[in-house]
Amino acid sequence: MDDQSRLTYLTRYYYELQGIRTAPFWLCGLVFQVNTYFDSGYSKGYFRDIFLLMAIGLMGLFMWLAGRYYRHRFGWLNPTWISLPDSRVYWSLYWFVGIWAFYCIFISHFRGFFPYVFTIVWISPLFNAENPPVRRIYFGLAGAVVIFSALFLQIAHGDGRIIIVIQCVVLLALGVADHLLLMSLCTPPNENADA
Amino acid sequence: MPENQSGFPEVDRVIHEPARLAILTVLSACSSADFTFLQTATGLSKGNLSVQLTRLEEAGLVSIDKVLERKKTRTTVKLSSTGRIQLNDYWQTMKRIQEHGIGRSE
Repeated sequence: MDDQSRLTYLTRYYYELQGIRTAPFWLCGLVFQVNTYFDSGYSKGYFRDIFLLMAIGLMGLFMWLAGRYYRHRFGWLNPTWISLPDSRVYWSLYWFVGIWAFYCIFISHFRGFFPYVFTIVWISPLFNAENPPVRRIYFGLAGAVVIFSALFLQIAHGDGRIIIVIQCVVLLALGVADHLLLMSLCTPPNENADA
Repeated sequence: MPENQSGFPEVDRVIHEPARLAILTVLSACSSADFTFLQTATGLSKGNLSVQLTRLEEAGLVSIDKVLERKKTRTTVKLSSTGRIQLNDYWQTMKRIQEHGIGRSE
């Protein structure tokens, strides 16, 4: 990526690359799923409600602090760009999964978590040619992990909650990867530049 | 488009300087950006960035807005409409030079 492309990409995708902002959301999802997985079933009502409220409060605090960190460390900008993949493959998959989900929920009356719909939403950077190859690769690998785990669990009639745990772990890892990409795109102050 | 004696199109010297071109590239990809973001993206020092922004403002290519926020001054920079037109002209000139160069080598 040459310097002009790097500057344009960094400016256009600045907010999208702030992966740490969403990290507490996936951490919370992970904690709740692990909690329900090990829960033997009896009600812990009061403590559980307090735990839930504390987690939501901490999540909000962490997201606010992450926003402040990005603003102080990297700065602020007013974006004009909305990144949408222009790939026909992506939009075909999007509509296919959407119609399939509609069929499963409203016609087959499926009541459960449907990971494919969610995956097709967050996997969009894979189909966006503006992204550097490394970002497209890690989004592709993450999507493959989630889709194949979901298919495997469906065939093996495994516990559906595991796929939520996998999704949360994968999205957490993607957030960290995006943050590292943002760090690598930002250059350190260069005193040799022309004055 | 003005041309010099050798027949090459004339390049806008204010925009052609690498640090200023980097600033204008960032500003052309967003509506406005603050001083910290420009520093992060371009890698320029505070002093150098400040000098380049003043030059760009004097040339009418950017507009600088300073707002006092919690006892700190926040500097927001925006590409002016003249700046946007001149940056587009600059890229067209560069394209013409490239085509001119390719034409000569062939």
